[in-house]
Amino acid sequence: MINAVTLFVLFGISVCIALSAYRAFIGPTIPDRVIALDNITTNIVAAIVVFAIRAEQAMYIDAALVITLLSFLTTVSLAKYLLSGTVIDGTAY
Amino acid sequence: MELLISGFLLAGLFFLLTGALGLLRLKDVYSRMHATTKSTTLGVAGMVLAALFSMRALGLSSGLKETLTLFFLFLTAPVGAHMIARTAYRSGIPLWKGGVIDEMKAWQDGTLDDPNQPASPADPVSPVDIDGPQEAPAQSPDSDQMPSEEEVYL
Repeated sequence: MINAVTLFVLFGISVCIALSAYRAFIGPTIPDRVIALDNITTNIVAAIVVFAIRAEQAMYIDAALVITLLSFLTTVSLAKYLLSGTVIDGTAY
Repeated sequence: MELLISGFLLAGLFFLLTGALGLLRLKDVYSRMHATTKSTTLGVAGMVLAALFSMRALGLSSGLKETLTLFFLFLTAPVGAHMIARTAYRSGIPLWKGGVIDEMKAWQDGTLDDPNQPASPADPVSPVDIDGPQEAPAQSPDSDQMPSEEEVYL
């Protein structure tokens, strides 16, 4: 039962990634694309977690934790870059 | 236990699909962010809870890393979305023309008297028209009417 449910959920997550990739492709502004790529990363975290349940391996949760933190880092870096042109400029925003 | 794990997985899939559909269908940056941030975070939370129960039932993990993943996800997703929203507003990306209120515009113009009081009906806050790079070229003079289907942003 767990095998069938995890397979179905993995297919659903791939559909979500496809929809988000389409938004990242057609997105009229750059923050649209940033939001879509952030959504893809979050979906990938979900896929890794589901795959950890399916493979019965606790190791994959570490990868999900690291990718969550990297997603936040990339989002903040892109926000700062779009606002000020640099990432590390010594200001608070 | 398998029913519990499957229920959490399917609930998480529902919220992830809702977030992706909102990202695809909504009208401007801010509403798309409104769709994705909350529902996608909740969907991943359901899946991480399913992993926590699964690993605890199988005796593979103590559940600390799942809880830590959930904690960092709930901590970082609103902060990242807030920074992207502020970047989008400050770089002049216009709101959807069918939107009702833009409180930030009134605050920047200084026409907002008290933020705790509702705006007086004599001067309602008009929908914003920021001159952005994606702005439609010609503003019709009667822009405070309800926009037609062609004037709606995107």
